[in-house]
Amino acid sequence: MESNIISELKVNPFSVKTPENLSSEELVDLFVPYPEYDNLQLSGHQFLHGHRGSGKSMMLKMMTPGAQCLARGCPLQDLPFYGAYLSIKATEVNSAEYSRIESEPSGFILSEHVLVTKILSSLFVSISAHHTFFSANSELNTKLSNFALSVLYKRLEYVGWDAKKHIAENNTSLSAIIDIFDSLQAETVGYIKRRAFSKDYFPYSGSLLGFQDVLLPVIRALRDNQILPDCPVFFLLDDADNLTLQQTKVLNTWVSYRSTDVVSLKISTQMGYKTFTTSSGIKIEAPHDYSEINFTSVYTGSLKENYPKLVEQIVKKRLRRFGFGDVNPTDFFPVDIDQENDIRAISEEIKERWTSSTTGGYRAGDDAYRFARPEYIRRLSGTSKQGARYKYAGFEQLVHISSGIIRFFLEPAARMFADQIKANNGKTISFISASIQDDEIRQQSDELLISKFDEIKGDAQNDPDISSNLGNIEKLKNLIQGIGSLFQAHIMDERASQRRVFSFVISDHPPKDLEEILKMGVKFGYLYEDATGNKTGMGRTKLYVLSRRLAPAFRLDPMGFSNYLSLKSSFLLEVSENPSKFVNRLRKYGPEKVLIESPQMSLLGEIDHE
Amino acid sequence: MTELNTMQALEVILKEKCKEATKFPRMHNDYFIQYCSFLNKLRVDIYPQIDTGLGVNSKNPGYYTAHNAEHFDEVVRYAGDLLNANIEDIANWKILQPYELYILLVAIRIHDVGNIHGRDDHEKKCFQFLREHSELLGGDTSELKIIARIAEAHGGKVNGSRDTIGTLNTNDLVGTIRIRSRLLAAIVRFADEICENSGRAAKYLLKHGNLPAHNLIYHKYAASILGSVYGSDDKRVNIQFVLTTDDVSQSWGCEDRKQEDGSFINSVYLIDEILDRLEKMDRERKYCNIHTRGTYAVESIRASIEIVDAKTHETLEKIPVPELMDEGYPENVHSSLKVQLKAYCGSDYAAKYITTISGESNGK
Repeated sequence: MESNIISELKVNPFSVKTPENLSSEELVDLFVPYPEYDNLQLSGHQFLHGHRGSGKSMMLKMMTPGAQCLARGCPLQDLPFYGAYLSIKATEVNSAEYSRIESEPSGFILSEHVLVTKILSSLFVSISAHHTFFSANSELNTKLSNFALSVLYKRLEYVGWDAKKHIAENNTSLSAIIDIFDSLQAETVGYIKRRAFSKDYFPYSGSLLGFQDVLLPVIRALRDNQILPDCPVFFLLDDADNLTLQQTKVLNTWVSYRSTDVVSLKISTQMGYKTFTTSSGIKIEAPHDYSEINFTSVYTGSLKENYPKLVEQIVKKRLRRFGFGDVNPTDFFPVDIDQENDIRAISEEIKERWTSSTTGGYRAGDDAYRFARPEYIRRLSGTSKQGARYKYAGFEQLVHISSGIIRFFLEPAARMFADQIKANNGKTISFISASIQDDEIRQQSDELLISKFDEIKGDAQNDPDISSNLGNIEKLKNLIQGIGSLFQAHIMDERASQRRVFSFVISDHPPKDLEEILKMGVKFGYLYEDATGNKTGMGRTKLYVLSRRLAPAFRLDPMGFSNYLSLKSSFLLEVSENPSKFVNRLRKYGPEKVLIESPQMSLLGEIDHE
Repeated sequence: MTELNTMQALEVILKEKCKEATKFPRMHNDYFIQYCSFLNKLRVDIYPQIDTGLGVNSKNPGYYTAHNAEHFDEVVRYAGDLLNANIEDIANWKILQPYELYILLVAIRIHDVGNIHGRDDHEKKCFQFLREHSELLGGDTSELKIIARIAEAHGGKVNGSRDTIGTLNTNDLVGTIRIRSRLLAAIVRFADEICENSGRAAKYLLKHGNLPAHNLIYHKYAASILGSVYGSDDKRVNIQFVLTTDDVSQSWGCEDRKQEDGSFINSVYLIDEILDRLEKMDRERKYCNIHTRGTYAVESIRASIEIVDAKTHETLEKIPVPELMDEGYPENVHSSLKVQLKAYCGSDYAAKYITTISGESNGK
């Protein structure tokens, strides 16, 4: 497995492999720390919210002991924390059968048992994986024996597991302990499966492990017996959106405990965490119970300023690792020179116009250059009909299009790399041509607008626990089409007072059904949330930004955007339900008047996200 | 119809409430019959063996105060007092939901059964015990786990903390029925706390000096309690101690106890012990109130300590124990009872009565 991954990275520097499969060496080699990484290493329960591919798993995997020892150059015993990683997605705890039993008596207890068993199992597997570190200590077996007999087996007996045989045979090896957890899991899975085939209720009769009565004392004892370093244990729970509703509540209950001196929970979500209430129905809140890290997009978190630099570092690292030496990413992903020259020419035109205008006032040259790009797009795609098309190429443009999610840079980059090799007939390459970049970016945009929706629909049909419903998926699709068309109409309308529009706020109180649709849009990466100043000047309001991965689909300028529209809920709902009616009106009235004719308030606001 | 010997008020109420089948997770199950079968098993096979098990299986073997069937009955009775259980008007008794009452009673019935395997960690063995008898209780180990957690919170420590009730969920959902786990645990805990009386002391053996030295003070303490009652009208625990001059004039054997200065003692004066235990009871009162307030609260503990002549039983003195309650601004204004009542503590006070006794050394 590992050798395959290495070879893949050797074939393509941008190959994206799930971090679960990377070796510690590769992790350390490929990892570029986000600024949030420092915070994550502190004790305390934390949620990491980020879209799929934003680098959460990489960050969590980087906190596992193997990677930490390498990165810090220290032995295991000196680590400031011990990170045990568990990918929820990769376990069976999220299977539909688990959801079904949750309405039965004492579902919470069983859900807690399932989670504790899974988590402790991952911890012992992790300890076993670092056995070479521990075995440096010749007394390990004695310590393990002491731990198992004085704490683990006793605790397991209290919760219903029969330890007599193990105690009698003094069976206290790591593999024996892992076997116990495997058998505990098998017992539960067996029950869950039997329940799936039976209409009648029959109670669970196996052992029941809990957080307070097993997990915490076991971890304390592992530390006391020096089987784990004397530091807090961080459970790195990846993709916790995949937990069932009840498991989520159980996890939240643990978050509500002040046990961070022993255990901290680092929980990553893909914007679809089901609830923040506990089993008792109490809401957990930041900063009292946990802290939050959002790195969803360029609009939030540290990425706002640092994302381009981060991508640059990642690309440099990967190219160097591949053997390209110190290549500047802007040279490896060059812009289309002719296009840039044309844009500069338009920029000069605009500057000239501003200078001769009596009301234009002073505007910097950079401003003119930014204004020139949408105009260039209009001239290409609008009335001039030159047959050429705008090239989505150049490192800076690719970074913007990736919308703050590193995977959205790397995945297309990997495909571009493969295409370039093909184009070069296998000869070595030193850059990716602008047309190959453009092809790939356009393909990605089409995938997002068409295939991805089909994929979401398929998932919704197969997953009874999914919060979305099929109707809302269709509405979201309509809404994205409608909004994209509206933004496109602004860029294409020479007379429009604002050309570069990429986001909107809702001017009134959105009804629940609209909120659901927008939430789904955020969850699946079509929209990003940010906040902007309220029109009244009092407080802040939620801003929805269209993913710039969709820029090619709507012929938008991904680099420059500084305006948002203020839209009414009724308008958005209409677009989501009857997009053709809106598009017809848009054609008839143009982008600005259509909003008045809808009828609905049209306002333009200034924001600066660049 | 199923009946129990010595039915306590809460059990009478349970019997009636179990007729409301929709208020239980499994509607076709008669929870009262289930409770009776289980209690019968406990009374026949388990309760009679607890004291012996406690004596021989504890790390520190000895003769402990009674944890017999009567003790469990009494805890049920005290819980009934706390909950103002009124069998005259069962229809209007709605302090607990029917299923909560069932959970509470099972939890009380097993809270101390772990002692059968010895005192150490006895409170952590409730689930193990329930699971062994799951066929008598419906067979659902998840439900038993909830009951066990409530019972287990009656003492000990969870992960180094005495806040055992705080580790429970405020409420738990069993099927569609929600139960207030912390409330129930606090009821079990405080009912157990105030369930002390002379009936738990081995008085005959005390009289004949046949108890292990390190157990003496516990039996003397229990024996000195004339009565302990909770009045739901004044929300107060009234506890009455009667001590003879023999009792106060000497110290009584206990297990090795570490003092603040690091030294160890192996005997203690009875009044000192009583004051310590009253303070502990007050801590328990405050702690359990956190979880029961809203349903009920125990507002104070009023203790009277009377010294009587060992021969004539004439009252010689009443110790003015201040009522233990929450009052004034919440800062540490009160010194400990032993400081406030220093004149009644230790060897100096014992010396006052030493001339009046002719007893022998009692395990010092």
